[in-house]
Order: sequence, then C-alpha cells, then structure tokens
Amino acid sequence: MSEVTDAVRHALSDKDMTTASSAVKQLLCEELARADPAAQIHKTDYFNHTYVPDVVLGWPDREPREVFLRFVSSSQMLLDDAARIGTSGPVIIDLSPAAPSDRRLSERALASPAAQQASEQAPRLLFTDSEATQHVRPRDAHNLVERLVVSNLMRSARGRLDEPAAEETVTVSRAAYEGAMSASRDDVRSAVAVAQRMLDSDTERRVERTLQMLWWAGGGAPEEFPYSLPDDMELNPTDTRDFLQPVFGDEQDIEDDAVWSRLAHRLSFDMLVDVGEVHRSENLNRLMRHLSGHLELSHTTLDRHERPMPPFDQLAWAIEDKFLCLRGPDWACRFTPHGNRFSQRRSVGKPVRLTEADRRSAAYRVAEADIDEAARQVALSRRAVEPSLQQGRTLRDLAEGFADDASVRTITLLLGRSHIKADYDRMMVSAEPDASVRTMALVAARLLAAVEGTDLSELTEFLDIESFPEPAGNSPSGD
Amino acid sequence: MAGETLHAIGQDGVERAKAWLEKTGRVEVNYTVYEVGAAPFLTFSGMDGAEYTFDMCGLLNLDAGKASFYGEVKKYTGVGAQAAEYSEYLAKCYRATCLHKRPYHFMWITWHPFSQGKWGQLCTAAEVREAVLTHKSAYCGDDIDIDADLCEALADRLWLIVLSDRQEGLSMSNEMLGELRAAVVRGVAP
Repeated sequence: MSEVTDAVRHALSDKDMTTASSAVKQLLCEELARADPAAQIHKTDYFNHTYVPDVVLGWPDREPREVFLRFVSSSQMLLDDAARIGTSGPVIIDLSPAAPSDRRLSERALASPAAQQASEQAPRLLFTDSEATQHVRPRDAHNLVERLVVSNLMRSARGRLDEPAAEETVTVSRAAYEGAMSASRDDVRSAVAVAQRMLDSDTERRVERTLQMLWWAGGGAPEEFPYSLPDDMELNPTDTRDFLQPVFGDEQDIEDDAVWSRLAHRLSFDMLVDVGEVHRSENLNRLMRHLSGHLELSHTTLDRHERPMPPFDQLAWAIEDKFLCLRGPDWACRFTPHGNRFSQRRSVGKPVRLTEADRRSAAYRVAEADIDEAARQVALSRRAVEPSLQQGRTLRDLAEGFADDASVRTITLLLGRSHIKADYDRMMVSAEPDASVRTMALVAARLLAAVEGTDLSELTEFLDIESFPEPAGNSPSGD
Repeated sequence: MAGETLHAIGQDGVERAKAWLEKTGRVEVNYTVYEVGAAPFLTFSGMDGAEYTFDMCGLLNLDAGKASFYGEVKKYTGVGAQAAEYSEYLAKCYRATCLHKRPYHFMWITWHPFSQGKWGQLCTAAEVREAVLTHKSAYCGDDIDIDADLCEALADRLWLIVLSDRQEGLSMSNEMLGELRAAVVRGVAP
C-alpha cells in the first residue's frame, strides 16, 4: 500500500465526515504536488462531487486540468464519469485502494473492458489511483527523459495509469536516456511507444524529439533513429529549445565533452536565447566552452555591479532577456548579434588615458582610434589601415604627435578578418564582420577600463584558452 | 432475486440518486456505502452494539446554510417492505441524532411510493415517535424517555423523495453542467 493510500485510509477512519473529507483532499493535494511540482494546485469547495472537480491544476503555459477524487466501486462508474465529465479531459484519481471494503476493486475496475470503453468515449480522460501516483515523482527522476515523461503525466496523460503502467512508464523512460545516447533502437522504440500510448500528441512529439537530439548528440547516425512517423525527420528550432530547456535546467549532468561539441556545432544564437532565462547552469557552461569559440556575434557590452551578486560569485554563462551573458563576480558582459538593442545605451564609462590604452593594446594592430587631446577637448579620428594591405599600426604609432595626457574614446583593433571596436565611453565592443564570442569577451575584459581587477587568468581558463588571442598575421611588428 | 443482483441494483440506485441530487446544485454526496464500505461516518451502532449503515452522507447547501445529511436509497420497482423499513429507518435517524447531538437531515429516496394511506404523515413527529417506540429495544433502549422536542426537530429535517427513471432525464444535460463546471474552474484557477 502506498504512503498516500495508507494516509487516506487513516483519514477515513475519522468519525467526522467533514474532517475526513478535508484531510483526504489535503493529502491528495500534497500527492499532486509531488507528482507535478510545477503545477499550481487549487482546491474547490467540493468533495467527490459528480460534476464539480475537487482540485484544479494550473500551469503558466497550459490550460488548467480538473481533478476528480473518486472511490471507484464498479466499472460502470468509469463509464458514467466518461459520459458526464469526460469531455474536458480531467484526471480521475481513484481512492478506493484506501477504502476498507475491497482494496483490489480499483485494480479490477481499471483493468476492466468498461475502463477501456470509457477511455475510447473520452480519449483525453486519465484514470489513475493512489497506488499509481506514488511512482509519479519527477524530482526523483534519474535523467531528463524520465523527468520529461513523468513530469507530464498529470498534465497530459490519458487513458489508464494503474500501478503497473506507472512503473513501466518510469522504467522505460529511465532506460531511454542511456538507450538514445548509445543508439539503442529498442530502448528508444519502447519509450516512444509508452509516450504514444500515455501522453497527448504534443508531449509525445517532444519526448521523441528529445530522444532524437540525444541520439544525435550521443553520436548515433541520424538516419538510424527509429522514427515513429515518416515526416519525423526534421528537427526545428522549437524542438531544439524544448530539448535545451531541461538540459540548461541541469536536470541531467552531461559530462561527455563530445556531446557538447556536437551540440555546439548545431546551435545558433537564436536557438540558444530562445530557451528563455537561464541564470545558472553547469550544462550551459559546458556547452559554451565549445560554442564560444565559433559562435560569432557583433556586439557586447560590459557593466559593473556595485555589489557582487551572491548567486553569480563565480564566472558563469547565463541567458537573460534574450542576451547571452558572461558573468563575473561584479561584472557582466551581454552579447547579441543585434547592435540596435544597444542604440539607447548612454555613456557608462569614460575615455582612458592614451598611455593606458597603448599599454593594453600593445599586442595588436590598430585600425582606427578616437582620441581627445586634453588641451583642445576635441575628438580626433585617425585611420591607420591601408585598404590594400589590411594592415594597421600600433596605437603608439597611430597617436604620434598627441600629448601623453590625451585620452582614447574608441579604438578599433584588427583581429583576424574582423575589425573590433572597443568603445570606452559606452563600455561596448562591436565587431565588423562578426567575431567569436570568446574573442569579444576577452577584448571586453582586457581593453575596457571598467574591468580593472578582473582576473584574466581565471577568465582565460574559463573560456578554455591558454592566452589572449593573437591572430596570425596581425603581430604589431607586421611580420 | 440473487444477492449479487440485489447488490448491483442497490448500488445502481445509490449512484443514480447521488448524480441526481448533485445535479440540483444543492447537494454534495461525499460518501456512499458502496464506495467506501463501512466508513465510520456512515456507520452507527444500535443498543446491542450491532452496527447499521446509511447509504450515503454529505452536505446540503440550503438557503439557511450548509447542513450534513444522511440518505437511504431504495431502488424498488414495487412497494416491497418499505413501510416496515421506513419505520426502522426513522428509529435509526433518532438514534444517530441522539448519538452525535447534531441537527442532521435525513433523506429517504425511493423509486416507488409506499404507505399511501398515510403518505402525508410520514414526516411528522408522531410518526417518528411511533417508530422509536416500535424499535426501541434495538435502537434506543426499552426504558427510553422519548424526547418530544427532538421528534419535532427531526421531523422538520426529514426528506421523502420519489424518483423515477424518466424524472432523472428531466435535468440539466451533461453539456450544460459542463459549462457550469467551467465557470467553477475559472473561479478557482483564473
């Protein structure tokens, strides 16, 4: 007997009907919270009413689902419920395992032909009982596939979920993760079959897509994936987002570097930020070690925080407000390919002294700089690039003739094929054409005065590079 | 008729009575004897310790407020032994009220009328008193001093309802009830 069944049985021994009803309902609400921790659970004023639910489950992105508590005493009751309340697709939780009369009644009723008939009459209706729900524990899931399936049972399961079916659902979906990563067609087929039988079509599709992503990320040949439908070949950005959300929720520690390397080659910036807010994720950090080297973007800004942010007291990647972010203890870089998102940005920094800018840019060729001469308070622009050679000079060469107390507003470096402009006034780095996130992060950290105190060795280690990039053919000597 | 068949008819009657009562919007049948067996709140003990059980219990939502009720359902196609059963039922109601000291309502729901000769007296204090006297050994003790006020109060809380198969169809459809249910759901989970 499950814990909740036993507790309901105990509650029913109270001589006061109202007290018993209230206690039973509370026990089931707690059980529902364990079965679907993300659900909002609303009690109604009714208990075991033929037409009004006992509980309503709500989610931010789904229609609410009614829950009826029942003491199923005959298979006819299932047919009656299907006819009376089945069209809205509710959950019926049978509590009769707790009733002293006949604990096996529920099992028999749920397994009866009438139950099958009721499922056909009301295809969105879920029949389950207090013995089965003890196995619906998303928080205890061993991997993200199991969690995806189990966490969706209260939301989208239909048909009969008795205890054996619940156990099978957990076992099969648990095995499917390793199965997909090791390209086991049988494990994947079993999980897809369970999902098709138990879940609505949208959730079933999501399960299959997740398995497909894992299959591919695990190194399986895409054409060997056991598709359930002929038109199931293409993964789209929505599939990728649905896959990445639980992955970035760290529902599963994926330490295999090869997985991240494969994923990194598949993802675009839009796919990444479409996942939604990700504030702390070891898996995102793992992915970015591979992705930051070749994901190319055009703009980043750097901001300092007055106080260190406790949740982000170490270097970490994040996704916030559709920006890719790199956070340090008291600073944050925000990356985007859309420069217009910074068009309203005001001056949050200040020009740096020419000598300091020269020191910081000593290893690089400079294409252009805006320099203020302190005495004249005039911004002068100097271009250094010979168009035919695409070569620049050092800042020191470029600023020849300026006084030492002059200051630099912007400086444009030549890095590989990109011109990377560091704007000290606006604390912004922009690349034309796009440059890798890793390069832009390092330029921001190294060149902008606002990051004083940033431990570059820690940053380079985090970005998985040995030192600041010095692209071939761009050494200041011009060799 | 075989016991199993009688059981099935009885259960059918209780389930249909529950559905009909709840369609009125005034009643919640929280427990029936077929659902939870001999649950303590459906069961009372007589003078000799023998237990008796009502068919259902729940809440009435009356204009005056909510009240608990117990129900006895007779899915009969004829008069049967209802006259005698009703008399014993009244004694059980008296006993239950004495035991719990609560103003319970009691419903006798039948598919066939009975005792037509005194139909108008079936829910009176005199009928209650007579029933208690008839069954005093089993439910109240031979030396009982019958409480006249309690008989009056109990009589006021007796309900006698005759259902028919066709009458069950003269109620709101499942679709219409579904609309009302949706309103309840919107109320608790906006």
